[in-house]
This record gives sequence, C-alpha cells and structure tokens, in this order.
Amino acid sequence: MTSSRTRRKPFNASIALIHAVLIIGSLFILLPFVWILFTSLKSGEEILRIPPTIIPETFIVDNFIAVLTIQQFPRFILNSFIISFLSMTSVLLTSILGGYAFAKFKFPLKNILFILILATAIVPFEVYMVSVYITVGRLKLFDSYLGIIFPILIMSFGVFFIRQYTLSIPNQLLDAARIDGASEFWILVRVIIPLSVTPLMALGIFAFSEAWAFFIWPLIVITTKSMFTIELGLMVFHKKFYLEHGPIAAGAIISILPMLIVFLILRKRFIKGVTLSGMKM
Amino acid sequence: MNRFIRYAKKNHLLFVLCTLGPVFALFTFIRIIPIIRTAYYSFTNYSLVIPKPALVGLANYAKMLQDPSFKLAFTNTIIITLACVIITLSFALFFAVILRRVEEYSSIYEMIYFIPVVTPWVPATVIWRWLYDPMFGMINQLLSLFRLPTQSWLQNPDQVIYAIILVSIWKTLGYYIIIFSVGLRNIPEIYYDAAKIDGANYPKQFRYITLPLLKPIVLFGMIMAIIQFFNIFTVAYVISSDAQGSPSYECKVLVWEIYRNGFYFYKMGYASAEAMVLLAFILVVILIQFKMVRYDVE
Repeated sequence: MTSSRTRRKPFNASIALIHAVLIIGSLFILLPFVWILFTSLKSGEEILRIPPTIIPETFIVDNFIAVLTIQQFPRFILNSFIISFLSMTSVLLTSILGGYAFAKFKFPLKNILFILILATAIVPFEVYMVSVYITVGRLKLFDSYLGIIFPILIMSFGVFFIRQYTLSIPNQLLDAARIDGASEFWILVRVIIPLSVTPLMALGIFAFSEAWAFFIWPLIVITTKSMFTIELGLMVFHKKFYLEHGPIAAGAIISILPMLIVFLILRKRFIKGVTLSGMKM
Repeated sequence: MNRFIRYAKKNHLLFVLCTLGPVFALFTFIRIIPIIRTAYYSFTNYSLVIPKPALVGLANYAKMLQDPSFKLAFTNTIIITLACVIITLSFALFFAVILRRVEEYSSIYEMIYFIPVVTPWVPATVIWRWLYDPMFGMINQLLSLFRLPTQSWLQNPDQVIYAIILVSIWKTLGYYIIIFSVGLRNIPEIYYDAAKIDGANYPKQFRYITLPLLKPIVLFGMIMAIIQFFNIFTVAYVISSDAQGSPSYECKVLVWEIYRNGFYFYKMGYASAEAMVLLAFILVVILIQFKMVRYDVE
C-alpha cells in the first residue's frame, strides 16, 4: 500500500515522458477510428477533395442511411446476433456440463476423454475446415444458421476453463446437498451454476465475440445474401464498391459498434476474462 | 452385474452419461473426426469434382514442394509471423513495463489499447485499407506533411506485406499488453524494493528481476502469437482486392492457399495436405515451448 504513495511524486520528468510515449501509442491506436468516423460523416465530394479536409465541413448522415436502407445491413446485424447468441448458449451449456463432469466425478476413461478434448484445443479450425465443410454439405446445412454455428457449438477451452473453476468448489457442499436428498441435476442447476457465474460470464463474452468475428467459415458456407453475417456483408460490400468510400466507412463503423458498446459497458469483465484465462480475442 | 450397478450408482455414472455423453459426442463429431479425416484426405485426391477419391500416398505433399504458389504463401506466412511476433511482443512488453510506473492511469490506457482487439478483423482491415489509399489515405497525408516520400502501399506488390504486418500489430498489441501486465503485477514489489536498496537502476531491475520472472508469461505470449499469426487470413484476404478503381496486389498466405485450393478449385485432398503442414508447424512450436519450460524447471 505504501508503495503507491511513494511512487506518486509531485512532478517527475520521467513520468511525463512515459505519459508522452503512452499518448503517442494511444494516437496510433485511435487515429484510424477517428479518420474512418470523419470519413463516414463527409459527403462523397468532400472525401475526394485534395488536399483532404480532416474534420468534415458539414456533418452528414447520408452514408449511414444509405448503408442501412439500400444494403441489407440491418439484416446482417440480426444474423450476426442470432449466430453469436446461439453459439454462446451452446458453448456455455456444453462447457458447464462437460467441465463439471470432468471436475467432480469419477468414471472410466476419464483422463483419455479429457486429453482428447484438450488436444483439439491446439488444432486451429483452419486445419480441419475442409473436412467440416464436407460434413456440413452432406447434412445439407449450407446457407443455414445451424450450418454456420456448426463448428462453434462447442469450445474445448470452455470445458477446460469451467473444469478448472468447478474443481475449486468444495466437495462437502455437494455431499451436504446429496444427504438432503438433492438429485444430481438439482445440484448442478442450484449449486454449481450459481457458484460459477463469474467464469460463465467471462466465457460467454468470449464465445459471443468469437462467433461475431468468425469470418472464414461464413465466407465458405454462406452464399445467399439474406444469410450474410455483418462481417461477410461488409467484406462483400467493400470488395464490390471500393469507390463508395463514405458508405463503406459507415458500414465499417456500424459493424464495429455492437462489439465496441459491449466492450465499453463490460470492459472490466473483458479484461478480467483475458487475465483469468489468457483467452485469445 | 450387481457390483457394476452399485459402482455406477455410487459414482453417479448415469448423470455423467447424460451430461458428458452428448458433449463428448459433439466433440467427436465436430472436432476429433474432422481432424482425423483431414489427415486421411491429405493422402487422397479427394475433390468435389472427382466422384471417387483414391489414395495417392504422399503425392499431395510432393506436389507442394513443387508448387510455387504454396512456397510463396509459406514464405509470406513465416515473414508475417516473425515480424509480428517480434514487434508486437517487444512493444507490448515495453508498454506493459512503463504502464506499471503510472499505475493510477493504467486502466485508461489499457482500455484504449484494447479497442482494436475487440474490433473484428474485417472492419479493422477495411479501416486500414482506406488509410493506405495512395491519394486520400491518412498515412500518405501524414508522410507528405512531414515532407517524406509518399508510398503506393497496396498497389506495390512489395509493400502489401508490410501493410498487413502493420494492421496486425495494431490489432493485437492491446491483448499482449494485458497479458504482460498481469505477469508484471504478479511480481512481488519486495524484489524491486530490495534491488533499489542495493542501488540497481531501472534497466538493471528490468534485466535481473522483471525479465527472468516474466519468462513463463513471455513464452505463453509467444506461443499464442505464433499460432495466431501463422493462421493469418482475413486481413490478407480483405486487403487484397481486385475490385474496380483501386487494384491492390494480393499477399498469399498459407490459410488462403488452403481456402483457395479447397473451396475454389475443390481440390480437397491437396488442401488437406496443406492444412497438415499448418498443423505440423503448430505442433512443432508447442513442442519447442514444452522443452523450454521443462529446461526452465530444471
């Protein structure tokens, strides 16, 4: 505790230098966002002016209106929400069921099964996507929500993460409930899940943002425009109409906003999630 | 039989079967079987165009060695991975260390640096593509402001790869800053106090306290980064576009080769072989890390 007091010196040249470096770093991080935001608020004529203006002369929202009405961006956002929500729900459910079983029960082949699940965690999706594509094709799931979420119904890391957490729940608690005549499902729903809210929240945020940013798989399995995710919609729009700078900038902002808002609201949990587990965003 | 029932009851085997059963079935169906099947396909000429795939032995792997497109993709991926890992991790470590000296403001800076991490790759790349625009982009505007020669960036085949590296650093820096910050916060203050009493200056403290104690975290960050950058795809795919107006050269990367062969030419067997190379590389990296950790313990 005393260390923080001793460290806060009145004015210190090296502290000022550190702030200067950190602010330059922050500019490197933030300027691209500022530039795209200003571009999205400029008229088409002003965007292509030389030398360019930095702050828009007149702020217009036409670009946003164009993207939201002419292109099907609201539909893409809805699709992304549905897909991310379904994937998150499935990951949470399978992780708590699997993680709890591995943490608190004895059964044959337990170690082998656990190692198998862990081993799949180090294999990136890109390695076996060809094979998943063939499976999904055989199941006739192209261009469907189920087809898109198929590979992200489960997360090996989630099972591992919840197992680590539920291991720390004392066995006496479970035994006490059993002596009172509680069934195993009751214990899971009423004891384990309420005690695991923190890791489940962290995992939920992680699963949701993973699904939201998932790109290569939707790129492969979706061909119908009405099934596009926002990522795919933005990519196609950007490739087709590269010269429509204003609407593309607006589209980029719209596709960032949902994740950015979630992050700003839950930023402590986001960063906590990373620190708890080293989850990769 | 009775003994088994008693054993099952005592250990709640029915419950385990109901919970873990479906979960493990999903893992088998969605992960384990596809991984094994990919390995098998890599020895076949499987293709959506050929109705009956046949085993071709190592032909796909032999073909890869002759394939200029694959070789180029592999080299590019290695260059991107090396550059991104070295630059991102050194900057992340640097920022994490100086953030500890302004602890009361660190959460603000951490939040700012984390924003690109939550920005998905597609909009991140779209933003940067506009920054790279030779005429109207911010980067060339800044260069000309400082009277430096402007660059053609994406329209110069040699510069596309640098453009990709820069976007990737921007996108991932914040994540590694957080990872290293956690490691730094876990180093007990008392070590530094002792070092100060002994008259060690900041560089010495960094060299003899921070770096050795942070080694496991740095190794973890390295492995995450190598795997992440070796899988790079979206940024390379989105940044290279053959669209109207502003053509830009593509930078072939490994995952893009898998994508192109598998889903463009439907050469699933060949794509699977390339995927196996990707997997082999990752396994080697993880093995090396295990060796280093063990060496550390000894």
